[in-house]
This record gives sequence, structure tokens and C-alpha cells, in this order.
Amino acid sequence: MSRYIARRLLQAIPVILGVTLIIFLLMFILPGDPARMLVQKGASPEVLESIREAHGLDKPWYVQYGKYMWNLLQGDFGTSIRYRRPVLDIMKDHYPNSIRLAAVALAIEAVIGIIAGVISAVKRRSFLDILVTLSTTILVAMPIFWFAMLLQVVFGLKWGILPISGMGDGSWRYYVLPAIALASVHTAYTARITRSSMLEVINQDYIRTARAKGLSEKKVILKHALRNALIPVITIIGLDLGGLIGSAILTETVFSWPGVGRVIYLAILQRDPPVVMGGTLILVFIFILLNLLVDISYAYLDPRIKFEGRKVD
Amino acid sequence: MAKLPEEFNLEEIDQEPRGTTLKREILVTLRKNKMASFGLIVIAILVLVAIFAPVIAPYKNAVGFYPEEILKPPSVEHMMGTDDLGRDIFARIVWGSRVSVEVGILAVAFGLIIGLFMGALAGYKGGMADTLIMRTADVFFAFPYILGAIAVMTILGPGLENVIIAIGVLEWAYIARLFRGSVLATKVNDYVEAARAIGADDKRIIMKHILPNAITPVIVYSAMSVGTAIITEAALSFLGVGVQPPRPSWGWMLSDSRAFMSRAPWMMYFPGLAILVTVLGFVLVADGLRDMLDPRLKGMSEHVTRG
Amino acid sequence: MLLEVNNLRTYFYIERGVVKAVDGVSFSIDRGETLAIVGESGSGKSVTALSLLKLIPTPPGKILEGEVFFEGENILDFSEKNLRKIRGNRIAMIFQDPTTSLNPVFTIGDQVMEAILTHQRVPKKIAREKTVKLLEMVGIPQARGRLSDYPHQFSGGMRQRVMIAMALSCEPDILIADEPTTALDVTIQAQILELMGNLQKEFNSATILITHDLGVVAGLADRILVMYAGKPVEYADVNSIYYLPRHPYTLSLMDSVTRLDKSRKKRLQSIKGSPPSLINIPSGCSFHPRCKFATDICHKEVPELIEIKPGHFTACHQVNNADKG
Ligand SMILES: Nc1ncnc2c1ncn2[C@@H]1O[C@H](COP(=O)(O)OP(=O)(O)OP(=O)(O)O)[C@@H](O)[C@H]1O
Ligand SMILES: [Mg+2]
Repeated sequence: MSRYIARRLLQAIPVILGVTLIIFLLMFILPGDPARMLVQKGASPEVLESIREAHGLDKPWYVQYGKYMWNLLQGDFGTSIRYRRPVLDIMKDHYPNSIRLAAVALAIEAVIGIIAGVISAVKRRSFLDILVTLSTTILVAMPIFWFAMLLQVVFGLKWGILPISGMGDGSWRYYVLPAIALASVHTAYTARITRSSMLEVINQDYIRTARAKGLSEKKVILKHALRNALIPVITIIGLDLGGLIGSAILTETVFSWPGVGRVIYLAILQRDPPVVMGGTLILVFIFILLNLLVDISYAYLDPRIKFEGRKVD
Repeated sequence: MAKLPEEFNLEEIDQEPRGTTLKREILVTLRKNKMASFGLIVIAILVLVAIFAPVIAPYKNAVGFYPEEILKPPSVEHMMGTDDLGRDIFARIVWGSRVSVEVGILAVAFGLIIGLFMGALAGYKGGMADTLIMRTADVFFAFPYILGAIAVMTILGPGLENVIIAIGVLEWAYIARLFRGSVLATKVNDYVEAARAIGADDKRIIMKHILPNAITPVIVYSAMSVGTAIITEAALSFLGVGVQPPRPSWGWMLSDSRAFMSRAPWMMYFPGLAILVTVLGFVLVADGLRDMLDPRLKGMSEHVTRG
Repeated sequence: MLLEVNNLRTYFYIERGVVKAVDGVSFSIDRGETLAIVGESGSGKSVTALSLLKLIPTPPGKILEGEVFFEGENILDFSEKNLRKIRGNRIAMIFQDPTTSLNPVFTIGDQVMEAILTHQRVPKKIAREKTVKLLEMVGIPQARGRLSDYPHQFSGGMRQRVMIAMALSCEPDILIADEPTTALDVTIQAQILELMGNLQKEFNSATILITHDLGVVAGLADRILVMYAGKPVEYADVNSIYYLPRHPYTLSLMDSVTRLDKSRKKRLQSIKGSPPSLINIPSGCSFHPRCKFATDICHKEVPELIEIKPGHFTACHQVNNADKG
């Protein structure tokens, strides 16, 4: 088991190297001079030069990259050019907001998605099934930022029952709308996948065996069928946490949420490579860890899977 | 295995290589499915609107500044109202459809060209090529889609062509992974072995035998990702790094509408609805294609993380 | 009578038409008896068995008609709740394919115990002990140690033993075994059948054994019901079927049995033609397209199941005519 985890982490190294390299190169080809963005217009060339030197921007890219990676190994994510603060501090300010929002969205996604999917599979072709199918299809096609704006109009402007911007004092009421918006598309996917997985499972022989044993329908569905049907669903939900943090830019923009997606987005626009690098790298770490967690939890959900990731049967 | 009624097995699982009858099959089956045909109609209308935009609404109503017409609610004159510069929202939506159609189709086409090539290479050749391509693709999966698109847009600068490139550059990895998988699955089929045995060369085997059979999941995925591309374009424009004004884009219109959410909500209703209905069209067609071409793919094309 | 089935009719309503999977089947069985239901693939054997416990997937399936008297009460009229008290408890089933009939994500200990705990108010510990005993009884070595193993860690034959243990866990009055050995090796087939025979004697239960192979049932069954395209075509005690089969279909089935030892290939060819689609059942006697004795009347009229001798029923125009004349 620990060998398996070690191997998986080793395998992640090339991905991390690739990501850092790509971002680094991207930031290098980006038009515009980061030094210039820091000073007032008309600053003297000497001032610019000294700023470049201070941030190491005068060296060739591979030297800068090597230095960055060396520092990274020591846990140093560098300093934001724009805010002149350690990147790690900026991330410590914003990641918790993002993770909390993503966690709430994930909870919505898992609970509502799975319940809707199960109901629509079990009551196939019923009114509820049609309702679920219809609404998930619409949600899948929904531009998330528009959905977010509609929520603002209805709950904020029309009814005035929920705050529509910022985190305020951090109470739950500020989470409701952004979390719903963020979860919307993913919930629809979860419901659809649960439904088709469930439909496949309830036709399996072992479900008939469970019924022939005299189990109640509730036990047949919630114990025997669901446990099997959830196996593919869990992967998707598990991996979504990473996606929910990374793809929250639009939701964060609409709701002015002080999250990390927005920080990275602004850093891209403002040519602040250390922030882009640091923010994205942490995201990639999270993503890789989640992947690993999902694979491990798989082995508990499906006893046929060994840690080598192979199905025995 | 679940018990399949005997009668189903015999006729519905055809063993023949698809290829030649594929096109006919798609059309026939799509017509049978009501939801999918609704999707097709939506797409047809969208394309017609994009082509005949000049006939439907004059371009001058979609751009410029009309001080007397500012923020008019929907009326006979302006069926969808006007925006903060007095531009006719209906006209802007009609002209904005061009951006969506172009981005949707061209970005996916671009992604397909790279993705199919890379996928075929990785799946068919295996070995070093496979490792290299798939590790590169992994990097793309690890990177959040929308952030990647924003990063590419900042390098290339805003503009329609660059949006197409940015989306294509991200899409290739998904297409390559999908295609590689089905190439691997198809490669071991008997008729490919047979073709190799009679001495067909690699190019011929790929084009004549593997491609037509392995392409099915890619077709389904592509239909879906035209929709995704349209949403991504709108998102990029919404964030200010996409298509540039004055060119009307649905994403820009939504971005503009934010300041007038309570005063002029129609500014946000119609562009959002346009995106929703358009993407819905592609989603429905993708669903229909998947159910009919290959029911085993259920759920496969369904998961693309995006904004 | 322990179980009496009258005129059972189960159809499936699917897009392409109505599948008349079971079309007027009757039989009865008493304690200590074994009834074999025999027929080709698709003749409606499994659907018959599932109908007895109302386990037909609805929709598309529907039990249109018929009665299933169990100890004098018609279980088809039972509420879902009362049915559950019968299922697995008084009437238990073993299915065709042991590799797919056990839930892959639960240990076999859990699955057998669950059957006990569903029907009996006993503490978990006792259920556990009983499970060990059952698994030992069906011949699983080191049963106690294997309670926490998952189905995929067992071979096909062992899984079928687990299924049998599960079915017997509540000492059912009737055991329905739907082709319990088809998916298994020949040597294991014999072992499983022998095991079932012994257990039946021990519990004095009734067994309904479903198979498509007449050869299998020779030493086991007391009575045999031969089905063709959803209909009963011959129903008699085992000796009559073996020594005096009357229906042409039974004849050809017997033919294939006797040839078993000579040539396996021949055996497959011995019934020419293939079973009909249950959607478009041939007019008249459904067997007529494959029957070498068929005459005009066979194309037109559906033969009735007639008692040609006490306890021996057949549905064949030719047999009826011969007996009359
Ligand atoms: N769920 C279902 N939906 C539709 N048709 C079904 C269903 N289950 C069974 N059938 C049909 O009912 C008919 C009888 O099937 P059944 O399973 O009883 O055959 P069988 O005699 O048990 O065959 P085998 O020896 O292959 O097990 C078949 O034609 C089958 O197609
Ligand atoms: Mg059967």
C-alpha cells in the first residue's frame, strides 16, 4: 500500500515538471514587461533595470526556471512582483476561501446529484425521471456565469433574501448562491452518471438474487444496487473537487468571491508569474492528491480492484 | 452478465465494421430520436441565422451608439430591448451567432486535427510515441481548462482567431486520449489482423480499418465539445480576454449586462438564453448520437470540466 | 399439494411486440419430490420460475393470468410484504450463472448471513455460526476463514455452492434451481447435483430443477415438464418420459440424450431448426415447422394438453389422433 502510494507520487513528478515548465514558458512569451507594470509611466531605464535585477528577470529563462525550482524544493514559492508579498502568504489568504466554497459545492453535487440520479433510475420513465432528465440536460448546457447572474437577480435583487456578493462575515448565507452556481453543472453530470450506472446495476443478476432472498425493495436499492452503482460516480465526484477550485473563476467573478481562481486570473492579466506559478502548482498538487485518494477509496468500494489498479476476475 | 432477452442479441449487436453505412445510420437514427431531432433543428436554425445575419438584422443596429435608444425594454421596435449604448439586442444576438458558430466549429475542427493525429500515433505506434504524447496530455488534464484558455489568450492576445486556437490547443488532449483508447480497442480486432496479414501498410490500415471503427466515440465527443467551445468562448469574452468589441459576442453582452442587472435585466436574459439553447442543441445531438451509435459509451462523453 | 401452479401466463411487452414467454403452464409438486422443467434456450423456463415468486421485471413483464397455490394460498395475490416472507424463506432460488449472481462488493459471509437475518430473529453471532455450518455443509473447505472473502475470490463451482448455502439458509420448503450447473465444468456439475439431491433428502423439501439437458435429470427427477416456446408440450413421470415419450419434441430431446456418448457434434444437430421467436410464434402447433410428423391440422390449430394416460399429458395433434383411432 505505501509502496503503491510512493510509486504514484513518483509518477506525478513528470506531470509537475511539465506543468511548471509550460507555465514558465508561457509567462516568458507573454507580451509585456512585468517590470514596467510595477512602476509609473516614464520611469528611467535604470529604475527598470534595478527592478529586473531584484526579481532576477534579467537572466535567461532556464536560469530563472532552475532557480525557481530550486527554491520550490525548499518550500519557497517566490514573491509576487505586483503585491511584493510572498506567494505562499497570498495563497494562504485565498485558498481556504476557495476550498470551503468548493467543498460546499461538492456536498451539493454529491447529495443532490446522487439522489436525483437514483430516483430517476429507480422510477424510470416516471414524471420524476423525465423531470430529472430534462433539468440535467438543461443544466449541462447552461453557461455557469449566466446561471450565477440569474440567481443574483432572483434571490438577491427580486426577493432580497440572500447576499449576492463577497463573503461578508463568512456566514453560511454568503455561500448559498455561489455554491449553487458552482455546483450546478457538476450536479447535473453526477445525476446523469448515477442514473445510467444505476440502470445498469439494477439489471444485474445479483440484484435479482437480493430480491429472491426476500429483501425489501429499499434494501435492494439502497444497499445492493447503490453500493455498486456508486463506484464510477465516486471517481467523478472525487476529481471534481480539484475542478471546482480551478474552474471557479467565473463564479468568483460574478459573486466577487475572494478565491484563488480570481487571484490566478488577475495574476495572468497583470503579468505576475510567481503568483500564477504558485497558485497553479498548488492546484495541481491538490489534483494529483485527489486522484490518488480516489484510486485508494476505489479499492475499498470495489474489492475486485487491487492497488495495482487492475481488475481481477 | 445481465440476462439479455434472446431476440435482442441477434439483431441489435451487429458485428460488421461500421464505416460505410455510418453516415446513413447516423441520419436515420437521429431522426428516430425526438430530442436529438430537436437538437438538430436548433443547430440548423443557428447556422441559418449566422449565414443570413445581414438579411435578418442590419449590422448598424448591432454596433454604434444611439443616445435616444438607451436601455429600452423589449417593444415592437426592439423585440429584445436595447442596451446601455442603445444598440438593438436582437441584432446583436443575430450577429453574435456568427462568433459562436465560427468558434464552435473551427475550434473543435482544430482540436480534432491535432487530437486525431496524436491519438492515432499514440494508440497505433505505442512505445515511446505513446508515452510522450500521453504524458503531455496529462499535463493538460492537470491544468484547469478555463485557466489554460485564459493563459493562452493572454499570450496570443484577444481576438476571434486566437479564441479558436486557444480552445483547439486545449481540446486536442481530450480527443487524443479518447481516440487512442478506441484505436487500442479496435487494433486487436480480427479484421485488422487480417488486413495486416495480407500485407496492407500502416497508413492503409489506419485509414481504412481503424479510423472508421474507432471514430464513433470521437464523433459523440465532438458534438458535445462544439457546445463546450461555445460556452468557453462566451466565458472568455465575459472575462474580457475573448473576442474584442465592437464585434458582438454573447459573452460580451452578458458582461455588459452586469452593471444593469436591476435596471435592464433583459440585457442579460436574451444573450444567456441564446447560449443555453445553442449549447442545448449540441448536447441533445451528442446524447442522441451516443445512445444510437454506441450505448456502451453512456456517461463517457459526459464529463468535461469547465467554467 | 405443497405447490400448485395453474395456467400461468407471463408476457413481456417490448417495443417490437409481445413476447409470450410463458403461455399457460400448469404443474404441481409435493414435499420430497423433484420436478424437472426441460426445454431449449428461450423456452420460458426461467420466466416460469421467476413468475412463481413474482420476480418478473415489471415493466416490461406482466403476469397476465394464473394461480400459484402455495400451501393452498395463491401467492400471486399476496402483498409485496407477505411475498417477501415467502421469498428466500419458504421458497428459495438458485440461479443460472453463479459468477454474476453474487454481489461483488459484499463478502460471502455477509450475503449468506443477510438471508438468515432477513427472515429469522437471531443475534448476529448465531447467524454467523449458522453461516459457517451451511458453508461447511455445501462443501466449502475452511469455511470459517472464508467468510470475509469476496465472490471473486471463489471459483465458479464454489460460488454456486455459496448460492446453494444461501438458498438453504432458511430451510425452504421449495428450492427452485434454475440451471444450477450450466455454467460449470462437467465434473463439478455432478458434484453440485449430488449435493442438491442429498440436501433435499435431508430437509425433505421439494425441488424444481430447471435444465435444458434431459440427460442431467434422469436420476434426479420424479416428474418432468417439457416446455416449448412458452407452452407445456409434455408432462409426465420420469419413466414415461424416458421410456415412452410421446410428443415429437420430447422424442427429439431424448434422441439428443442417447446420442450424447456417441458424438457431441451430432447432438447439436439432432433437433433441426431453431426455436421460434416468441414474438411471432408459428400458427397452430408452435413446433410444426420443425416437426417431421406435422400435417395440415398442425399448421392451423393449437393442440390442447390432453391426459393420454393417467398422469401423462401431451399437446400434440398426431398423438391425440393416434390414441383416438
Ligand atoms: N426482461 C425481459 N424482457 C423481455 N423479454 C424477456 C425478458 N426476460 C425474458 N424474456 C424473454 O422471455 C423468453 C423466455 O426466456 P427464459 O429466460 O425464460 O428462457 P429459458 O428457457 O430460461 O432459456 P435459457 O435456457 O437460455 O435460460 C425469451 O424469449 C426472452 O427473450
Ligand atoms: Mg433460463
